Amino acid sequence: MKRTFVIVNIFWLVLSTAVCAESWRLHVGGVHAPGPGFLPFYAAILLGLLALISLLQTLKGAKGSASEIWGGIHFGKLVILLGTLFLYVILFDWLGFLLGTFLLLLVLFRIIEPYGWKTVLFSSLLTTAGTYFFFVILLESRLPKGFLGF
Amino acid sequence: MDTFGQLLLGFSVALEPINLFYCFMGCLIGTLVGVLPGLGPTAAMSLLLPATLHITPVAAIIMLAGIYYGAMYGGSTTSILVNIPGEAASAVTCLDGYQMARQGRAGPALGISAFGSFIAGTIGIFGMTLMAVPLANLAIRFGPPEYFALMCLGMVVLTFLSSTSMIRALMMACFGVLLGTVGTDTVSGTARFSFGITELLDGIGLVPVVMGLFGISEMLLNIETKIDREIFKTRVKGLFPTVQDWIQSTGAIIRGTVIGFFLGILPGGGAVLSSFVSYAVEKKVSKTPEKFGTGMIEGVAAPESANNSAAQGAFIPLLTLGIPSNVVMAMLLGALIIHGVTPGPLLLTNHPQIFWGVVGSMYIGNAMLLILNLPLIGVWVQLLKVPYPILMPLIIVFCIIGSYTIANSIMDVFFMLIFGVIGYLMKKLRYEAPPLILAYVLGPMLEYSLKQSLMVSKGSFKIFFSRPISATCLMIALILVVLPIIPKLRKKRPGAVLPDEG
Repeated sequence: MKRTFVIVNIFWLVLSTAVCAESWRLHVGGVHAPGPGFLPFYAAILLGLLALISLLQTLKGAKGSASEIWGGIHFGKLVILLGTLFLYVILFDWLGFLLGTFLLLLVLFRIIEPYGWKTVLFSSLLTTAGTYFFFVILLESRLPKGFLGF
Repeated sequence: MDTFGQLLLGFSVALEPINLFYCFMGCLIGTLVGVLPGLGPTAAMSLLLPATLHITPVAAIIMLAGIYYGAMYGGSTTSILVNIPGEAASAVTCLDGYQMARQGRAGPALGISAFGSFIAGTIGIFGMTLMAVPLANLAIRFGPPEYFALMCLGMVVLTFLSSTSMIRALMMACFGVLLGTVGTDTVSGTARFSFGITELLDGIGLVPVVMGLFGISEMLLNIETKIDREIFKTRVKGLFPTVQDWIQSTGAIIRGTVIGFFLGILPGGGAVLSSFVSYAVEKKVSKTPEKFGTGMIEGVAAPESANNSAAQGAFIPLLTLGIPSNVVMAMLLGALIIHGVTPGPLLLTNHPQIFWGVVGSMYIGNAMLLILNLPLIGVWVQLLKVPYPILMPLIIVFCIIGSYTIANSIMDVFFMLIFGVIGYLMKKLRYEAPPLILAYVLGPMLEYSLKQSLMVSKGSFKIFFSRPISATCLMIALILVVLPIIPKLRKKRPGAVLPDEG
């Protein structure tokens, strides 16, 4: 656990340094004439200081194993879920809402709980139709039609 | 026009059929998200925000407000029957509510929770009706230093009450401020942290951030935990509390209402804090504190009353000062801005129909919720039986559509997923989302009032300490930051067990 929190605090320190550098480039200005980098610069400095305190606290006292944080994770399921969602975003315009959402739901229903294919197909169809009716027909939202044209 | 006349105007707006419909929808959806664990009012509001773009601002705000106070009603049902809080503000109701249900008194527990909520909610709105005009008049005299100090105080209070480390909560607030600076600087017109991405020139949208942090991250977490919901098989009967129940609960309801209302107004406060505080107070004043946790009706009446009056009280700083006191109000602020309405002291003069229409709808909504939560309790119990694996994909699809339709941009969906992953990691590493969201929303306003104050004072920070309101707020904020450093007090930090508001 200690190692995880050390890495996290180092991440915050790096982020704070990067924001400070970018804010400096944007022009920090002074109290008489604050520039566009004024607030981000000082917020990043504060973030860095807090990360430093947190890092010192971690080095001094954190106990426990990494499994307290990462234990019980189904990495496989998580990767498939995230991969599917990002793929859906990439292909959303091309596939269109109806086809894309139907395919997404097939995967979601299947990986979250291994239901039978009949249930998965039925649930996916019903959910896609329901959301299409609610958002596109009822609320007249504009969702992409995709290469199939619907 | 006096307060009574304005209230009549509010009722005339709220009673228009379309507004009545959206009020009902808000209450219904609020009860629904309150009953269902895992989806809080913040996520539900962000989910439905795009859907409100087609309706009038007043109807939109009426519906979104209904979701918030409706969730306060619904949350108790799950706490009492399943021992899982439907939303954070009902967490403490589990302690005695579930025990009452186990003793065969689920009916009176649900009944007193609904009646207590109704009484507290109505008194809360009445308080809001009386306080709004004087507070708005006072707020007109507020300058940039007062606004800056109030926003600082709000953020510090929220971090002080965080359930984990205050340092981490402050880090989240800093991160939120930084996220708020992404986009074009309003003063100089300079693009900040946009890295050449056109979509970032307007900043990162509130909806993708909230949906990611509260909606998607919750789904990612739920994939690894199986939610067991064991519902009481016995029929819920006897919803009307007995005379003895009323005698025991009246004091608790009154105390809960008062505590909730004032903690709701407090920057950084809200329904969650008030329910915990009122439970603690009830235990303190009770002659039998050792019986709390074994099925005491006061342990249900007090927190349920408190969270409802707090939900109403929280609207006061948002609508009169333009400052959200918690993350749900921050979401509502975003909604108002999207609809072209600037909340603040001028809201009462510029858009009286919105302010008083919302107030009027709250009176009506409270009555609707009493009906929705008592005679229809059986429906909500049935809903609890819907398997979570069925609901989860639905929520994910709703999040995606919600994010996309706000600006018809796939980049927003992408940002939502990124914030979903960030939110998931934050939950794993025990960083809290509410300080981040509040700071993200307040960040641009904070920057604007800070710059204005410094320009007016020609670069002197004395301006913040020479004006009584800003000096008081900043002093309180400073004390709250310093308090946890004192080791003895750190262990006694009052809110150290509070779950997230959203």
